[in-house]
Amino acid sequence: MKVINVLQDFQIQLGNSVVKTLYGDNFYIMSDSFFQKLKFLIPNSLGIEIPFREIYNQYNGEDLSGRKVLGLRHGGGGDILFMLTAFRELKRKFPSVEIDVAVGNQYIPIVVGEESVKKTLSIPITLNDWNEYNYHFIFENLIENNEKASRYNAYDLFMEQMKIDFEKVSIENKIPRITLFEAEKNIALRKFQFLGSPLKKVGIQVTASSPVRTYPPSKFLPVISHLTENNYEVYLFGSELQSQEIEYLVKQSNSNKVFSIVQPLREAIVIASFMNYFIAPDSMFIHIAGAFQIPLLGIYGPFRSSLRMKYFKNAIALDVESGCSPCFKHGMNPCPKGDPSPCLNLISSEMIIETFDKLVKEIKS
Amino acid sequence: MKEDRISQETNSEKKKLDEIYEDALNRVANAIFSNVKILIEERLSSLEPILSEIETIKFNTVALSTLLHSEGFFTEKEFKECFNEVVKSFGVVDEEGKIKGKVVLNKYNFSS
Repeated sequence: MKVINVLQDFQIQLGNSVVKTLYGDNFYIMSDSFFQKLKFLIPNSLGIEIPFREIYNQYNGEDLSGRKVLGLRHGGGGDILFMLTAFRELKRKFPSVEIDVAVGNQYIPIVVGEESVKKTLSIPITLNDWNEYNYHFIFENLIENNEKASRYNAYDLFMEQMKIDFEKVSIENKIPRITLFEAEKNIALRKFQFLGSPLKKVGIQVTASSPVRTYPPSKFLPVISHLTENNYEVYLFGSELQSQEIEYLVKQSNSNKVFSIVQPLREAIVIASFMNYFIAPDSMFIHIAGAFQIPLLGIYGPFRSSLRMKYFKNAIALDVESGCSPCFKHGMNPCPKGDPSPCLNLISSEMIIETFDKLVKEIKS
Repeated sequence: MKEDRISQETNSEKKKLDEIYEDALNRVANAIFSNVKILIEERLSSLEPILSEIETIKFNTVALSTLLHSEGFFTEKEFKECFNEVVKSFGVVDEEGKIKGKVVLNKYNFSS
């Protein structure tokens, strides 16, 4: 984390095309990568840096009754849910604690409606805002540079960071929650009338946020065919960045039961809540489906599914055990041993079809 | 005599040309391999521990194929074949080029 003095007003485009103004003569708390971006864009408008340790009030298990705390994690979507689930537990432990969170602007839609959180800030935040809190919980690099992340379930790991004895927490309280409002659902039903159809709906997250965890999208084609032939509707979820792959799959499937869901995140979450089943790689929609307790099938290679899905209800995962998998690789680079990752290539379309049918059978029985 | 002189001159020319050619080849080779080194560092840095264990010939194959592919000398198919050769040596794929490993099914929290 960096604490940098910004000398002049500056507007910067954030992850979801929102423009944020950084005001001159203010100190901002930001991630190292955001700082690198600023160094490139406005090298002459950056002033002195304060060492982060000097402003960081780390929590060490003190009584939080009546205290004000801030949790900070930029993203991605799953990580925000790890943080919110742990904060719910912290709120159970200290009902009078006031919790605010700072997240990447594009992930604010996940926090909307979360009852344990009072205020949501968008990263970077000012030092003045930062100083309002008695304690700060920093979750940056908790998954990325932490050996424990290869042994602990992520929901446990985030609780441990909050000094919560996660072994005493019920499984029920380790399942993420997303609060939706009735009005949002009604708007979605009006806007996307196909959601009102009586057919069973299967959501598929087409690619993961990282190429190393992405299942080859073209291998979903036989899966989509199988589903439509069995009278399911298929909803393909993804961001603008993945719209080409999604449009390709919609076109190739040649079926009026296949829909592209490339929508703003909050809308996509609302639509996801209408799904009867979900198929996803190790990425955000696994956790969104988990939060809505939708029966789901996870596709895992670089990480073990138990590290993410262990507490979800009615969940099945396909894990790969190979010479190099699980490798616990992070970041935005493809696997150095091949792209798509060789481990994920081991999972055939037929295996997904067979496992999906098994999932349906288990639910019905 | 005249023919001998011409022949000698020709040989001398040829030798000189060969030397120039060889020198040029060396320069090209050095240039390629210094580029290759950069490519390795830039693109395959995470592979260093593995690459160091691979025989030189394979090391050069992947590096060279990466370079030649980026310069447009290889088709995608040729590049992949070449790359797969090296991937084999990582122990990810077997002799037939099939990825080694197994898929395991895990179930979580089914309500009975």
